[in-house]
Amino acid sequence: MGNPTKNSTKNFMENPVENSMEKILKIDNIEKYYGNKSNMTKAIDGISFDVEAGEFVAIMGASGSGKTTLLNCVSTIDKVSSGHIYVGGKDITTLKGNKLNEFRREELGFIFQDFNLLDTLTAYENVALALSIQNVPAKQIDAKVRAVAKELEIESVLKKYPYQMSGGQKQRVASARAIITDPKLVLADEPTGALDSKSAKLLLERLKHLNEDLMTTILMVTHDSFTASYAGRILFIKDGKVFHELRRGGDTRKEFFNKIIDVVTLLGGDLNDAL
Amino acid sequence: MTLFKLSVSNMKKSIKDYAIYFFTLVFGVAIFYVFNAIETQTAMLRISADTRQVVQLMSKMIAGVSVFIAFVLGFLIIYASRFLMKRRNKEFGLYLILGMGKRKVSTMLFIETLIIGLVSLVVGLLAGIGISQLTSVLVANMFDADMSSYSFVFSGSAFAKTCLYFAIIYLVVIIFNTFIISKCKLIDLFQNGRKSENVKIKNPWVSVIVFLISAVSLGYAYHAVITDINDMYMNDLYKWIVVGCVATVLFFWSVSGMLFRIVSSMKNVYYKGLNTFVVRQMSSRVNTNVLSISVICLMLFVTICVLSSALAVKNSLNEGIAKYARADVSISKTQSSDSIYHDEDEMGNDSETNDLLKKLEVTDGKSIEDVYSENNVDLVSYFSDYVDVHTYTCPTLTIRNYLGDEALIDSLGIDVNALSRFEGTEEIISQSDYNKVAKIYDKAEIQLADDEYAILANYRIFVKIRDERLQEGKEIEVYGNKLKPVISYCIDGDIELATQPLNTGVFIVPDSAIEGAQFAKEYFIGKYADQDIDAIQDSDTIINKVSNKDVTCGLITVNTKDSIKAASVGVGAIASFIGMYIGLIFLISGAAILALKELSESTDNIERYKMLRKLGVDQHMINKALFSQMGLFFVFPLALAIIHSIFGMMVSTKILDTMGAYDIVGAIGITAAIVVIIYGGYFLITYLCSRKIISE
Repeated sequence: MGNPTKNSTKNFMENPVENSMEKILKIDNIEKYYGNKSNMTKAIDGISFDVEAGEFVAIMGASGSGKTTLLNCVSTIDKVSSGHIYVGGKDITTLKGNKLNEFRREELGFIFQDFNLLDTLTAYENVALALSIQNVPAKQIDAKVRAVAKELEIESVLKKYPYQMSGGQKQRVASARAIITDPKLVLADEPTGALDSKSAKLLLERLKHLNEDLMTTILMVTHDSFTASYAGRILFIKDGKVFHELRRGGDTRKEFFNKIIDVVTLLGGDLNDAL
Repeated sequence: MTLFKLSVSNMKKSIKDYAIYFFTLVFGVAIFYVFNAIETQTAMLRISADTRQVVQLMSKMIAGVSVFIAFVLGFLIIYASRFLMKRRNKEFGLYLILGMGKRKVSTMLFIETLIIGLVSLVVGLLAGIGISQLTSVLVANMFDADMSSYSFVFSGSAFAKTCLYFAIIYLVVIIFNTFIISKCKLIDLFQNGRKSENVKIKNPWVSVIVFLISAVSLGYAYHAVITDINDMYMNDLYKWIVVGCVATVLFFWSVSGMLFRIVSSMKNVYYKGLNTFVVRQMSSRVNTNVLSISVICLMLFVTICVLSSALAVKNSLNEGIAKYARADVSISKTQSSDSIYHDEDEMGNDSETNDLLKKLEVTDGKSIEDVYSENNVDLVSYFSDYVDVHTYTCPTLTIRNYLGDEALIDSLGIDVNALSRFEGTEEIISQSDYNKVAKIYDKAEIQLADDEYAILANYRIFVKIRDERLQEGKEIEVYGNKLKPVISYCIDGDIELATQPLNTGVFIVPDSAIEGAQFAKEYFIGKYADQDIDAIQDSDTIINKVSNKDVTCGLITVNTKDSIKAASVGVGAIASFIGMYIGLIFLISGAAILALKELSESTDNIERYKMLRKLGVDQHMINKALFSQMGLFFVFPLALAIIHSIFGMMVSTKILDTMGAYDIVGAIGITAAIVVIIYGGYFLITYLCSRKIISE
């Protein structure tokens, strides 16, 4: 079914610089099965790709395509059936118990669709929590929280509780929590899924800022073309396989968005509902 | 029947929620049965008629208390079931949306309640029947009864009563549930879970002020009850209890805000590990449960005080038998009216009192032995060892002039106008008569010079005043003989057999001092020749018969060791059984409410803990956070209850003082053990269940 467009091929060739950079994430032919032999579902069927430092990668696919499973495997919430995942050169598929928690705590940052802020804590405390569970001394916490709050423009809501904030504010607080620990990789699962278009745009602008100015590496799962258009590279996933890849290159966001629409239209079927 | 299947599968699914509820029901049923079965349990014990009466009285009181207990359990069960229902709102909403109809949902709930009720009743009764075999041993031990004819006992009446009471409770629960279901709105059922998440933060200054108010009023109430207890009326005590209750509520209302202020200002502690999370969870839990935590705190307070006082009373009275009943029988007969202090205002004018007074005024000059032989009883023949002694009075030695007005007013708190009541004469015994008494009681005899006297007393308050007089070396004049104290303290003891140390004082003087005086009272003290349990009972009956007769020969008072045993152990047994009954029910009720609250909370907390885990918090840290969060929630009400109890126990020891010796330390120890086992057990089960819930 693969039918790559000319554009994507061209983009692929035009990025020699990135190839030489440090590989933050290396996914090596992973598979994930559900069920037993008589009734098996292949959620991921041999996916391989790399993410380099400072990249902003989006993974697109319809529901059931395996994109969330992929993210869960990378975030060690789920285990792969076969294959390896390397983060910063370390094979995380062999990690166990407290090493896993340590890895999650120190190397990854999470942004979830439904924010996942603790409703009993203020925004400030939610962000600070990510540091305090790493046993960062209380003296350093305040300065870090304020610095990151400035980057994400949430200084005014720091004293508020999640129920007093808008969805966009909550997601920016969650983003602040994700990056405050200086993770190697920020994983975002449908970050704009619960936001209105204005808040979504604001959030994506902030993520782009984090990526471009602070060199944060972001791996984002989405089915929304607009959201994906903020990324530097897009992997299309279908039936557990990488179906197509699109690179932004020198395009403006608008041009890139149109290319995505082209691919989505071309793909037809399931992804159409994502438009 | 699909509805039945649905009910059963529902319960299987929510077995975690139901486990604590179920255990509490079983506990409740078992305790209810055990206490109501006491009369049947003791039926086969060989105990005296007096003791039997006490047990019957106890059963009657327990029956009365059971109504109150049924109300407490009823409230607990309704509360718990309402609580479990709330958690299932979405499920009910789903049924209604699928078109099940409210009637069917009610029927389903009815079946569920029925199953749970039946199973808990059966299990509880089985447990109760098992445990109540132990109460036979306990009662036998308390009353020193013969256990040789012991057999397995099943109490049909307690069984029927337990079934009836719990059937009524479950019926009320079913009606209540049906009512709730018929009233509920679909939209509420679906939204219920989300509503309560608004975290209300109180104004910190209001918290501080309310906290100070509660602390000050608690402190004042504590101070008031322990300093004013001597001359305080019960009404005052009630007033301070009410103040204490209100202050408790205010305390819990403000304490979380206060603590939060303090802890969050200590940045090094607050931003360490999961402390932020724990403190926040904790303060929101206490904030939303002020009333129930206060009620639980007060229940624990009642439990601690009632249990330890009851156990203390029981112990003290057990000791009393050995100490105050050193022979089998004592009989006293008044020989002249002025020996007895009586006050007409106080005694009232009913016919019973008048009869008593008439008896007192008769001075027939007959001895105790004469009276018995007139009734064809050869008194002396029953005893292997006996003494017959007399006491006297002297008009120059009255209670008032010996103790002194100052002591009466200051130490006894007597009103100035009532001092004339103490014009009664003191009781006097000769040295040789006292030594006879001392001999039969196995006590040290006394030797007095011609100008010396001593005092025999054991009623605490009087002993204190008399000791002061003795230390001053106060002289007395008895029929013209001037006497001074031989020792500076009272000799501990009584002439008669008694349940408790209530002898206000008898003067021991040299024989020469009262030679020729007319005696006021005669005492006959004896030890039975036949010490078989049945023979003792028969002798007691015969001796009591004469004194019970309406004889006009002066007042005869008979005290037997058995009646003292029954009365003293009786009071202790009744107090400790009722104390244990109420204490245990309060304890499990309080603990169960806390446990249910925490469990339901941890189901709601699944998301929060899942989130923490995603952030990379390891299981160890999460367990620690859960443990401290729940531990604090359980410890908070207990901590304040313990502080309340310290002062509560001070009050009850003052009251116990009037009853004689007691072992409060041992009683508190046992109480602490019971509280730790039951309350701690609930906490542990709750913690383990919650840990399982959140790790899923």
